Amino acid sequence: MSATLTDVLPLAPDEQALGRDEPGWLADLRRAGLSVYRARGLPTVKVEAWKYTSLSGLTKIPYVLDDGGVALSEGGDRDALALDDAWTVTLVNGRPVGVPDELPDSVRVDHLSRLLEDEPETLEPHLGRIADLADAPMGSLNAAHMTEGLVILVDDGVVLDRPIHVVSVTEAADGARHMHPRHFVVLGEAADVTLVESRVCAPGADATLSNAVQEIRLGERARLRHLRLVASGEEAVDLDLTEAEVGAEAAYEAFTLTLGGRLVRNETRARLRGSGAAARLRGAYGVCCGQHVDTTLVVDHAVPDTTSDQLYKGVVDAQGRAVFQGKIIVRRDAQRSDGGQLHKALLLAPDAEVDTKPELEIYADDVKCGHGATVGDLDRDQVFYLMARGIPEAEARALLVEAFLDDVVGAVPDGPLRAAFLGAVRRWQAGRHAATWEA
Amino acid sequence: MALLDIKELHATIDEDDGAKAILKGIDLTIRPGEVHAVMGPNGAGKSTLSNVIAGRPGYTVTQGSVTYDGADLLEMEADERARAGLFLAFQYPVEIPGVATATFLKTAINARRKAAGEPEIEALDFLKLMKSTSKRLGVPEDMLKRPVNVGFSGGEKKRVEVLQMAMLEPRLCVLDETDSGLDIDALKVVADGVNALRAPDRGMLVITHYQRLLDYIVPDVVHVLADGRIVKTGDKTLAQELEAKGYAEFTGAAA
Ligand SMILES: Nc1ncnc2c1ncn2[C@@H]1O[C@H](COP(=O)(O)OP(=O)(O)OP(=O)(O)O)[C@@H](O)[C@H]1O
Ligand SMILES: [Mg+2]
Repeated sequence: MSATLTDVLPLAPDEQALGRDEPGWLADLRRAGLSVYRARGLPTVKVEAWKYTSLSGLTKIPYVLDDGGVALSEGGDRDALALDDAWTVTLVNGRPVGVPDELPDSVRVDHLSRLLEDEPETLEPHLGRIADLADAPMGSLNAAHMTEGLVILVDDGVVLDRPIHVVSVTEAADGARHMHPRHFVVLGEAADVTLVESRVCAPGADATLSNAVQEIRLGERARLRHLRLVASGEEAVDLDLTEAEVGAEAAYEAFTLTLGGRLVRNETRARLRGSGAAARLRGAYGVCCGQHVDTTLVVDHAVPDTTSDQLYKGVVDAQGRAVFQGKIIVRRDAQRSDGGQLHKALLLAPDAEVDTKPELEIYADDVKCGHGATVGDLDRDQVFYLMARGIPEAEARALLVEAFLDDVVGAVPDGPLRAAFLGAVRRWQAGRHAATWEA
Repeated sequence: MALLDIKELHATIDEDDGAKAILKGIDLTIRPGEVHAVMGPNGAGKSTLSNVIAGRPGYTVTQGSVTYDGADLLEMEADERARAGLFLAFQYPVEIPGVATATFLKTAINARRKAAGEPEIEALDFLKLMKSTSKRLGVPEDMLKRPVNVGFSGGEKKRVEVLQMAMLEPRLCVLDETDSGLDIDALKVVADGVNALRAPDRGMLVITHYQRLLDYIVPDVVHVLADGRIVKTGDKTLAQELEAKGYAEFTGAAA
């Protein structure tokens, strides 16, 4: 057994140094994280929550912990979404580089390291209190390691009229690195914010393992639109666990578009903690060429009168593999919960693969919950109809793929934001066709 | 030179348990400027003929040839045929949710231009063209903002087929029962639209069950297609004859 332990624990921190010079609560958090990770190791398909995604292959890569010495390189188009009208903050390998100026005083955007150093008491009520990591080996590993990340704290009643855009860049370093950023978004009562996140990769960046945790807390009547583009590098392993705690009458509205990365897992958990809370988890993905993209959603209806809906659509091309796991939990007294789930996948090649696992755990009796899933091919009559008007087959198929994603991309607010996400989908399609033709 | 030259065409439909012979030796020649009508009983193979001409997958040509403007049509993909000037107005237009009709039209026009080495159509020119054509064919402009054929009535779908045809300016128009589903007024509007496209260098193949359409779109030649063969060819009076007598003579002969 001990031989296997060393095998699967190459990413663990040194226990002796853990939590040194830190407040007791933080040191405890790190030790608890390490012990969960130790007990469970890197997840394999034997673990139900990781049934279709194994990380055991990571032991083969000699990852070194990122020490923050990597700078933002010159040139190259990092901002895949090119949003003009936004407060932008850049992260390099999970570490913020400066913070946007001109932000209103009621909004604080800061570095996790600065808060941990200077005023840990600000974070104490949130850090490790929002995300429940006891059953999450990778999230627990993050707790043991985390030193950096972005903290966004918004006062009560603040309505931001432009999005905050977090551009998270993976930069080249000497050798493969692993990193464990921890981010926070805490909205006060009735605050209303659009947070855009793009995870992109500098050209030529080495293989990286990013194991991020985001903790999100929405006060009563707050609303967060959380729009994400995952366009990680070709060799990147990109694991993200986002846990959102949604207060009474508050709404967490997520849209995640995943188009890049070798192995991506976007795990989103929404806990509806107050009456009238709502979670809308939407997303789309495009997967091909040896990529593995895992979407794992858990919505927890913890109190009565809450609503949720999950809508994901994905396109899987040659040698791509997609995983969708969607769980709806309705606690015993969470009467009148309304939860829906729909996952639709389009398989464009015979060797494309998708695994879907819906799970309903319902302990209350007065609930409205449903789920559906479809897996299909492009409609050949539609392809022919377009071709019969002179549109080449590749273009016809691309148009139909875009049409397939149309309603879910429609979850992005109309205007420059939707145009930016649609642009990313189109570039992905164009690149994919170029790749197909070369092959 | 003939615009379309079909010789001894035999074709089968691919089915799970083998192939089913549908076209059993078709000969048909359309010269520039001519309008040919094809009539015939249900299941005779009229749509199969139009689909084989357009290059729809699911059919196998087992014998014969189809030459379009001197080129071997059967060697071309469906999209190449369309860009070369062939247009099929579908008997059952296909619904495409998520693709706005206007976007679809623009993409089709630009595909053609790109292949011809021309620049994309100017946005304003496209709007003007769409506006004037839809007005002429009685298609409300709002409809073109909706997804292709989704929620269109049967008659609206047929009008939009002819609208597409008018905007794409093909050289060979194949109309498969474009009159079915049209009310009397719409029939006239659509026929006017088709007639407006009649030109010395353009040919048409009009498949229909009804003499009425041919009162508006007067054909140069009428063919009767029964059981996969052209069993009779005549002038426009043949259509009137069929209207009066039906197909008994031909189905009997074919059986
Ligand atoms: N996909 C298919 N699979 C099997 N048989 C088919 C298929 N499509 C057509 N057929 C058969 O082929 C024959 C010819 O059909 P086609 O649609 O060409 O007839 P048509 O002359 O256009 O008839 P209509 O006047 O009713 O439109 C019919 O017997 C029909 O049932
Ligand atoms: Mg027919």
